[in-house]
Amino acid sequence: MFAFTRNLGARLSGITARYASTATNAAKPTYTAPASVSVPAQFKPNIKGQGVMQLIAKEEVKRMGADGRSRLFNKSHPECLRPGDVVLVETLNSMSTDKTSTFVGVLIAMDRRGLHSNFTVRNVVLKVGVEMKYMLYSPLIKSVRVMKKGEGFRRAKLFYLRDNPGRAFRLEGLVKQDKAAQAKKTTKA
Amino acid sequence: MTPLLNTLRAGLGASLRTECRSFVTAATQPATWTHKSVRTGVIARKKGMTAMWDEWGVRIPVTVLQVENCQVVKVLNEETDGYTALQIGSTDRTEKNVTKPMLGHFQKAGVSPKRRLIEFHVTPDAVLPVGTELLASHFVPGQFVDCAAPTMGKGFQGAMKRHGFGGQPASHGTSVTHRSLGSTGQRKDPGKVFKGKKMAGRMGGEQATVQSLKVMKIDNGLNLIYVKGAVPGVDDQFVKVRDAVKKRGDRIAPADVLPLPFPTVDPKLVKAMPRELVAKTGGADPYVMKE
Repeated sequence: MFAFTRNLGARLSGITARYASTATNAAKPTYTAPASVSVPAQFKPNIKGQGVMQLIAKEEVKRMGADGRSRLFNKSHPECLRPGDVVLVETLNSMSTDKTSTFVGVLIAMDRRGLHSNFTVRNVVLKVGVEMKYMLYSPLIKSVRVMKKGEGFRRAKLFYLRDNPGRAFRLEGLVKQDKAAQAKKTTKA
Repeated sequence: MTPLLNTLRAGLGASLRTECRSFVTAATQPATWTHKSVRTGVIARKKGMTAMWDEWGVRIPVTVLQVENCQVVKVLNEETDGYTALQIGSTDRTEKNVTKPMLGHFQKAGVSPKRRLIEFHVTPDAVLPVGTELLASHFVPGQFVDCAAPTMGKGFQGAMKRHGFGGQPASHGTSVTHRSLGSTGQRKDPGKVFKGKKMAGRMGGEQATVQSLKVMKIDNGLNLIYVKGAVPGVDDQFVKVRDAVKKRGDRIAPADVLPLPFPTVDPKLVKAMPRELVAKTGGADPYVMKE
């Protein structure tokens, strides 16, 4: 019925047609995404009973949390993080390499914000207090592991540890233990 | 085929019911893009803001704009109006809430009554027939757009907030005038305050255009356009979205996404597309040090 072609001068002679424009396929055009466009995991939108923003937030959480990281913030899940836990966060240095960076520390804050959920981990490194804030659904976060469950912390936000750390940041023994356990695991496997 | 084309070119006036939505596109009137062509914009509704991560893991704030029942209501041309433009209508409205004059206007076009009508200047080759539905895929991921909308109202504001004046010192003897204008003119000559002198007054509620916002994502299922950055105004605001004027020719979008659908996208093609299309940022990995 029609040909979906465009003439844009000599400059575009190298661009191949994105759309099937032959006479046989004209009845049912097909689409192939070009290199600068990515097609993420698709969901069927069910807008019933909620607004657009709520729906797309839920879908994005499903998409970014496909590896199950939502359980870390789900209070009814046994593996939920709690303020006071000693966690080990492994982050990719970049999306193009497999190299990772590790940070161990006490979880002092958790903010539940749907897709923008984040948590703060604090440690004292070479006598300097360091706090790292991580976005839970960031693709650069490889894994979050609990090394020790926190006990005796009665607050949701442990900002008081900045002034009164007590023994909270004596984590070298834990790190050693964990390393040994990990090495054992790899030799076993 | 030709009689059908002629009927369509005539403007689809009486041949359609009021609530019929025409999917006639310019495919029936083949048009060719030239470097001087200006295609139509779209009316979208600002739904809110969120964030997404690109392929490099960089977090990008985005504004979600929804294209809601966007149709061409009237074509203005050189002979009758003195310029070429398309009057676009957005968001259906119940007939009982529409005045009789406006009802007549919509019935003449053969479209359902709309809440907002905005004109977009176009070149004659980009004219669309009345009743054409504009979809989110009118824009492609990776292209640049300008968004215009009334800004958020700030009420009556002083000169410091409204015009960025410096005010007076907080101490050292300043009495009761810390945030005031200061001087408003000279002395006997000119002996008056010039018109347009920047003073306190109502701030906000004026149209502002944010230019060259990148389209990060297109959602064909919900007719959403995700643009990088912020857009003026409140949520559910009507926003004028059109191709960026400061990005001419090939700069409007990445090379493999060009040419942009001209004069607008074919709905059959939109059905063939996946629901969501995301623009890649491209370039080098920002988290890798350049050697």
